Amino acid sequence: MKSAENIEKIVKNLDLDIDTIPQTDQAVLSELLDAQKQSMQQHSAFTLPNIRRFIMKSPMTKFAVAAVIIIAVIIGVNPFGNSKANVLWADVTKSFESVPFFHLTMYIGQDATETKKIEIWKSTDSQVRAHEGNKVFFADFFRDTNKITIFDRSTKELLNSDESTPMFIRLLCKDGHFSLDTLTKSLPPQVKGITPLETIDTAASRETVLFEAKHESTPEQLKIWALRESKLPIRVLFTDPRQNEYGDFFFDYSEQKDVKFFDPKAFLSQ
Amino acid sequence: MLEDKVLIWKFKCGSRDALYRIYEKYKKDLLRLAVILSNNASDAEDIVHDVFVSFAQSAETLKLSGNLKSFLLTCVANRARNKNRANQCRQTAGLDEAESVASQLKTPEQWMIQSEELRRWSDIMAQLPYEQRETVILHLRAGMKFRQIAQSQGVSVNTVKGRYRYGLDKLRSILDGEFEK
Repeated sequence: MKSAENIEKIVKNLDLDIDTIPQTDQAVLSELLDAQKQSMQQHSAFTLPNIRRFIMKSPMTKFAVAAVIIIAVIIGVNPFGNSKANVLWADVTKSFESVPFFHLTMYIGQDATETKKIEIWKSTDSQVRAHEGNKVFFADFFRDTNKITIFDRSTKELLNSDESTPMFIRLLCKDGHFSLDTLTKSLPPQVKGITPLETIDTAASRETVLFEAKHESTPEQLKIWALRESKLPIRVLFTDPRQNEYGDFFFDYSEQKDVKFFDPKAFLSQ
Repeated sequence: MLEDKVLIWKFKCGSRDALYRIYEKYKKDLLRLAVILSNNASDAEDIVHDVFVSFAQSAETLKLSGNLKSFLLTCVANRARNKNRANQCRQTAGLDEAESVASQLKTPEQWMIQSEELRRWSDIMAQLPYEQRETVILHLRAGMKFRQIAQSQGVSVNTVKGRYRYGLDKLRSILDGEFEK
């Protein structure tokens, strides 16, 4: 006689193996990609009216747009009239784009699952090296914006494509251009804007500025700390309390790695 | 997972690669659930195919505030429930015979290969009333909370708990019977 707990355990731990036939897989996938393409085309045809024509059509909209531009110029010149809050998010992303090299450490986790640690280094020549567990990733975005090579760190064997780390590398580097925007925009969906938070006057707040973005309808939250002087981001923290999910990203700009560090040939010859 | 959030964002921006990765990541979980819920390979393939096609078409309108896996599994459960209702209606209308002749004429492309264990469990679960089967599987295999299942089935949490309890009891008697044999 099995108890209810036993039944629960049995059903939970069942190893129900299933496989798919590659040819059918390919057919289904191309159907999906076609469906996605058609839907995107249809939707953009319906939802992208000519904004200029819409504005110029009515004197009311012309007046409203002019007012918005004037307000935006005033805010841009003197944000909040407060010297402590005058680091704008645009300044931070601009500073990050011009930084010659950086080291990023990412901690990603959910509930009680083990935290995944990914380290990414960027060189002055847009070369990237990343570590995740026993894997090492190399990319040279100056020469090829798509190629990421993966090796086993101990055996130095070439590995097949890995999913998550290259995805994060590509989020930071789009078309050979390093940007913080793609990373932050991708985290909490539907975030309308990132705004500086007024923090109490502490030694830390004199050195850093804190930006925050909240999701419209969920408790997802994004916080970004940046240095006031250099306007460089030092930490990006994403949290979703519903599943105890988080992504904690730390940026460091202090150590410039040697050219050999980014060279896969040098790694293989070691 | 954070990776899923990034994938959804890329998918909503029109990335084909993101759709490909979502498909590769979840197709087996969805097929497995559909097989157990429908106990019919061809129905299961249709259900998962339809879920993925609607998902692919929803890039611009998708408003996903929770977990991607739970969302896709709920879509499969909803479609499986509708299919089950449609099959019941067809049976009462006596259309089964005509359908079986029609299905023999078709030569559908097979998509999945089930293991013996999956086939066996699919048959065992088919002995449970549909609502109990769905509740037990969604809770134990898909990791969904009773509250989420209640929302998806449009019933109260207590009803879901009752279905779960009855489902486990029935499953226990089936398995004990199998063991005695």
